[in-house]
Amino acid sequence: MLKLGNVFSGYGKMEVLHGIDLEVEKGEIVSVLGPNGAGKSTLLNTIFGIANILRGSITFNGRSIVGLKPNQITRIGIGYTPQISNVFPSMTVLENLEIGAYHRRDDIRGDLEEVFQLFPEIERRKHNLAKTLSGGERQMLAVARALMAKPKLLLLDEPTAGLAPKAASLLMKKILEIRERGITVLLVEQNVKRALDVSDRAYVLVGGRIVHSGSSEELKKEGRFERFFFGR
Amino acid sequence: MITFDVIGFLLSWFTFFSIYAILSMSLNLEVGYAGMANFGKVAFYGIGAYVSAYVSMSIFLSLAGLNYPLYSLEATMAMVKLASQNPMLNVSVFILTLILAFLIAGAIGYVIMYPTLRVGPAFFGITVLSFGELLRIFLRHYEPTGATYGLTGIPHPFAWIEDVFVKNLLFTSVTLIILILLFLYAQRLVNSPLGRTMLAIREDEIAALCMGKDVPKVKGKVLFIGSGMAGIAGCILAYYIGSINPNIFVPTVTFDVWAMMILGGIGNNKGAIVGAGIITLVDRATAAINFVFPGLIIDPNFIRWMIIGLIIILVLLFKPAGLIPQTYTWTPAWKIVKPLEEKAKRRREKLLSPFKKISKWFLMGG
Amino acid sequence: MPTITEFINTFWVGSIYFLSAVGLTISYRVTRVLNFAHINLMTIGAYTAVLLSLSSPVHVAFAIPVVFLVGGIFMMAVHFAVYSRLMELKATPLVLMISSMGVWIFVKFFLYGLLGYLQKAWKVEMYLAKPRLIVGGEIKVEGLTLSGDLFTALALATLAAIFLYVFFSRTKTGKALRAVADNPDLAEISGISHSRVMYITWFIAGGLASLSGMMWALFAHATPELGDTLILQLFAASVIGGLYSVPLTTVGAYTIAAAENIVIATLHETIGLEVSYRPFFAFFILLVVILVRPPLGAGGGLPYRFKVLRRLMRR
Ligand SMILES: Nc1ncnc2c1ncn2[C@@H]1O[C@H](COP(=O)(O)OP(=O)(O)OP(=O)(O)O)[C@@H](O)[C@H]1O
Ligand SMILES: [Mg+2]
Repeated sequence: MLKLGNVFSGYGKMEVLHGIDLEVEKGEIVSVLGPNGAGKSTLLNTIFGIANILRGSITFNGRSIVGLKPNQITRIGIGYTPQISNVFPSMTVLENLEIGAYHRRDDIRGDLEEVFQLFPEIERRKHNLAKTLSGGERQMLAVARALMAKPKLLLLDEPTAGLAPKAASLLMKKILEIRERGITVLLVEQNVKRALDVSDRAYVLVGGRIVHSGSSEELKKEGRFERFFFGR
Repeated sequence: MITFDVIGFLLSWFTFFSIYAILSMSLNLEVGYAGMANFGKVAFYGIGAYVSAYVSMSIFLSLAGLNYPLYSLEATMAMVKLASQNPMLNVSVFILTLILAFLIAGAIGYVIMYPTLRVGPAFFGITVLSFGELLRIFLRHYEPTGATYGLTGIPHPFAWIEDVFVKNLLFTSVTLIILILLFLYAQRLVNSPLGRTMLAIREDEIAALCMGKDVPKVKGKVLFIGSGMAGIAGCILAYYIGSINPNIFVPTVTFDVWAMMILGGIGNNKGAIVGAGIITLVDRATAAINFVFPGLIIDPNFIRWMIIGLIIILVLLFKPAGLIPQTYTWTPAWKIVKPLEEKAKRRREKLLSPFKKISKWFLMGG
Repeated sequence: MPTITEFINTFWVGSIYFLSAVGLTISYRVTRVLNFAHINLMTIGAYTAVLLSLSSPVHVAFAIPVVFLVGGIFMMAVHFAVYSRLMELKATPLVLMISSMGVWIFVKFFLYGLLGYLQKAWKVEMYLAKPRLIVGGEIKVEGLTLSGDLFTALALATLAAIFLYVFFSRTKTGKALRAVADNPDLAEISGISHSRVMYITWFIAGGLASLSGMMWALFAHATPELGDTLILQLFAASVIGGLYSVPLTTVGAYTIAAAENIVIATLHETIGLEVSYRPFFAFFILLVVILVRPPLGAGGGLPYRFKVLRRLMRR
């Protein structure tokens, strides 16, 4: 579905990613793991046309998406929940979701229902401004906003950051539910165990290079790299 | 046949150049170093001019025992006679008003800092712009300074010299000397700890606060110095053209100064001066065109202003750093580190040069 | 006591200020450009109406859409030529503001030159003109003439207010504008084309401002300095709205109009204040607003405390 071939990218002249090869198949949950500053967010930004791509190819369903503007990438079916400032603070929850479905011409009421079913926590607050939400509710809203665009592939950047362990595992369950609706997920996570529990495959990104990849089961069994990179 | 007076042209250019170079340097201190977008430069320029005109004329008239209102025709007539009598008086009044213009314009600049301190650059710009416009409206209605007609008969400091050429030459040299002194002062200022604090504020006000810098105080100081320098420029202008009125101090003057600073390079005193030189030259040239070919269908003045607008836009679009880009500050540490670093670099290059040669040779071969 | 005329003028002038200031507010909010070229727009609107009605008077209902279009297209052209390029270079708001100043000067003197040329070529007075628009609906009550111009201004302001309210709260495009104002990067990620939103915003802001210029020309007359003479009032009204809120900008516009008409008439009678000190009120209101209720969110100010004020308050 999504395929990155030898991608070099960065911000301005600074190169952050040095030759990334990555593949996501339809229906998978793939996680990207790595320490702070490894370039995980940059990877997602590169896919979305926000970071500068210097070299390499990115294809989505066989079509190259290098050079497209972020709004065009949304239109061809990729959703993105950034790591920070991922809601519209002075708009209501409902309006946030409507903006998520901005490019769609069809009726969105059914999808609103569905999203509220998935995240009943935010339905209660649908007429409140997004800046009045708690951190966890905000993360859910951010994911819900991206879902409203009916993406085929969803990029999530640390959706569980700042959540209590219980809320985080709840959100992880929701990610599994999202997959059941036929949406492929590329997940960036800090918490290795949690990520490996939900994902099918994982890549380990360190210093802008992929140092390890494989199925989650294998990586979990190995358990070695965890200590190595994350000090656990 | 109109003969073109080259020396007169140069003298008037140099004088206007000095005035505008002082203005653009002062603007550069505020915008380029401290990041405060002062759109009301003209206000302080005007304050300097009016203070000088008012004080000098009052002194002359009261010493002569005349009490005409300053704006009256009698006062103007009397000033013509009085101005050429006592060289000592002329020069000392000039120096006194220079200092007064600096202090009063500076103090007003300092006061402006208070209401605008808590708002961002956009609001600061609006407020100061409005202040300048308001001052002009006030002056247009203020009787003691002659309302719309302004004040005429400001005593030229060298009015006692018969020869017009020598008189102008002397005045121009004095303004150039003032410019050089202010330039040296500004250079010292921006390379001092205060200058570095200003840069820190420009880059990140919160970070500067967290470093324990008293940001309001520094901003106040910068505005005091910047406005004071504009006041000096206004003082020179008043003496040079001998008569001032509110319509000289329209907001467009501010934009002239902005164009000079942007053209020369923001955050660079030399750039500010170069920009002032170029634009005043264009300015004088259009004035000359106006004089040589009168009655053009489109006023060359308008074209000149359009060029100013275009310069601002084009420089921002294509050469945002200006003609002379900003360089690093000469801090004491730099002075020690820079030569060492350069030495190391040279050594490195010397060491590497054989390899480079070889690789080049290989590449050429391949 | 202020007469009924002052009250009428308050609403009249206030509506004109509102039309223009609201454009300034929404354009700053969405595009982050403090647009000094906004001042040109009023002049452009006034002279579009003058030129339209040069040979024969035209009906105001015809002039309104034309003037709106001209202003809107002008602003879109400015965005295309200058702001969009600077935004691509990731220019800071300060740089954008300075560039808008360059546009302001350029256009102002371009208009001066053009009008001077037309004046010479066509032999008509241009530097002090009045659009000849046919405006019906004059009402006479008890010796008082309420002109159609007044009603047009009120109607335009009301319509603009209703339109903006519905546009921003109900329509998809309006919400997209708000989204861009709120979080431009996320809006782009959500599929909103940043550049399209910019053009729409400039179109609306430009159109409203040029309508306001036309109405001002009907109230007073058209001069090349028309916009420049109203800078203070416009910016003050927008600052009262924090360069953010449309309702507060409305309040600002009418407050300033009231100060300039009702308050000054009262003061003129009681203490003999010159009527020409009118602009001081706008500045005074501006100062009071940024001192008492500084718009901290917009423009990036810091909430300093004043030692002097605090010490005074403790006493
Ligand atoms: N907008 C930017 N401009 C310039 N450099 C950036 C920018 N964003 C990130 N970087 C740099 O890119 C590198 C990778 O950052 P990135 O945000 O991708 O890390 P990350 O893996 O997502 O880290 P974290 O786990 O903390 O989110 C960092 O060294 C950072 O300094
Ligand atoms: Mg990250």
